[in-house]
Amino acid sequence: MSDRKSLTLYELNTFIKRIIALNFEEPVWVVAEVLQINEKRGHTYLTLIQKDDQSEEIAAQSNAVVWAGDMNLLRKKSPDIGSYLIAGHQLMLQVAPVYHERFGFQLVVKDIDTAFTKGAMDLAKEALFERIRQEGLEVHNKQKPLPTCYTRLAVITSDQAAGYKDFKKHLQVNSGGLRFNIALFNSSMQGQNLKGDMMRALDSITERYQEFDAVVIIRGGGSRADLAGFDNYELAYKIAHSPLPVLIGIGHEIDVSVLDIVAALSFKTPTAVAEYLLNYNLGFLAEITNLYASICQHVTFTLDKKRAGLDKLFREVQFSAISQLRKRQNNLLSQFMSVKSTLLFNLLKKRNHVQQVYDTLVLKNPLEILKKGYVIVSQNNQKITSVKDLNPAAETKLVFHDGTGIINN
Amino acid sequence: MTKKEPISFEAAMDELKQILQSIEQDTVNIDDLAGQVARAKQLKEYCEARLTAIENSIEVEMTIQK
Repeated sequence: MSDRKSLTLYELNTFIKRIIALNFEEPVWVVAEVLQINEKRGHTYLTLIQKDDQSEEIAAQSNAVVWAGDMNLLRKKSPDIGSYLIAGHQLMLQVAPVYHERFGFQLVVKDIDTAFTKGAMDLAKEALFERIRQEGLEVHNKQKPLPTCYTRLAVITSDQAAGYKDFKKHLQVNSGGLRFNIALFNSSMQGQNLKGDMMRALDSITERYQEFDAVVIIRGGGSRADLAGFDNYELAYKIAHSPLPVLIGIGHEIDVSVLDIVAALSFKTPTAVAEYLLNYNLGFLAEITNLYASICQHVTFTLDKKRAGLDKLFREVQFSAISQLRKRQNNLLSQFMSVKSTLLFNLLKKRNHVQQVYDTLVLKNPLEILKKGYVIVSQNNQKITSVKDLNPAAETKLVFHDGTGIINN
Repeated sequence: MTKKEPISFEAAMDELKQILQSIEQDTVNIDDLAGQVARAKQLKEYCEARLTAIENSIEVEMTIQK
């Protein structure tokens, strides 16, 4: 055994505990960044760090705890306290440095100055916005062509979120009878898992981007601090370079998150996103309806034109047929009239012929000559046509036009 | 003496021509002459009547109904 005086570990730790307790009679305010955060049985365990301003190396590190009871008190004071306790945030904490013989050193958090954190968040956000602008990330996704209509939506949200239910209900109950296929990519929409969940969801969607028309990121309303998780460079970068247009509706009326500026389209609420989708598709439907109407009109016009052409052609055929018929009729009539004229002319000729024969006959009728004073002289039933043949002694018969006389010598 | 009606226009015309020929050739007995002339007149009237009838028929049959 050595004579050297020594302490037991317990004595040493008790000594350290006393020194610390004596030097920190009251809690002190400390500024630190949250490196890690875990929750176990209602208690919140934090790893606090301070980075070197120049090298960004960790210059100081301590474990801290918010006991469940203290957390309840903090929640009563600031209902959105959980939103500040996120890795990466700068916090101003009121802590009591405590040393435990067995568990060592840790800071017991008694209060959190949310106003400081908000300020720090604003500064960080401003810097992030500046970076986004400098890198031109806000234009990438806006340059993605929007689909003709939205029917296949990749929705990133929490399946428990009220905003998601409102979104679905709004899309399902619509007067236009529009239907949407919604694929849910479940993600925490606040707290420390937000970034990891959303990055994974965005990666999954990118792998299957041809199955979707757009990415929709939605959540219901929340405090500024709740939304702080969205102000993240990696998320902004991924959204900016998404192969699909990204629509944001993460429910905050006043503030703008970095996602709002990098996304193709940004809306205040999930319902506003749904309203936009419905109006967009109704617009497309109206366009289709108008197109259909103009096609119908064009077809009707073309048919009417063809019909008119057909009618005209038919009338021409009809006119031509009638003209031909008239021509034939006129020919027939002309021939008929010609036959009639010929017939009548022939009849006239016959009549003249009859008259001529009769006139000749009348002219040559010997009785007509006798009326002029001539007589027919006959002796012995022989016509005496010469004086030489006359026998003065013979009985002579004189024929007048109105009778016969006999001379007996 | 009344002779029978001719059977046709052509027959009447032939008979009329025959009477004319007989008169021209002086082959008609003087006593028959008046009878022949009367017959000729009858034949002429028959022929004219036939022609008038045919003409009327043509006018009736060949009139275009407007």
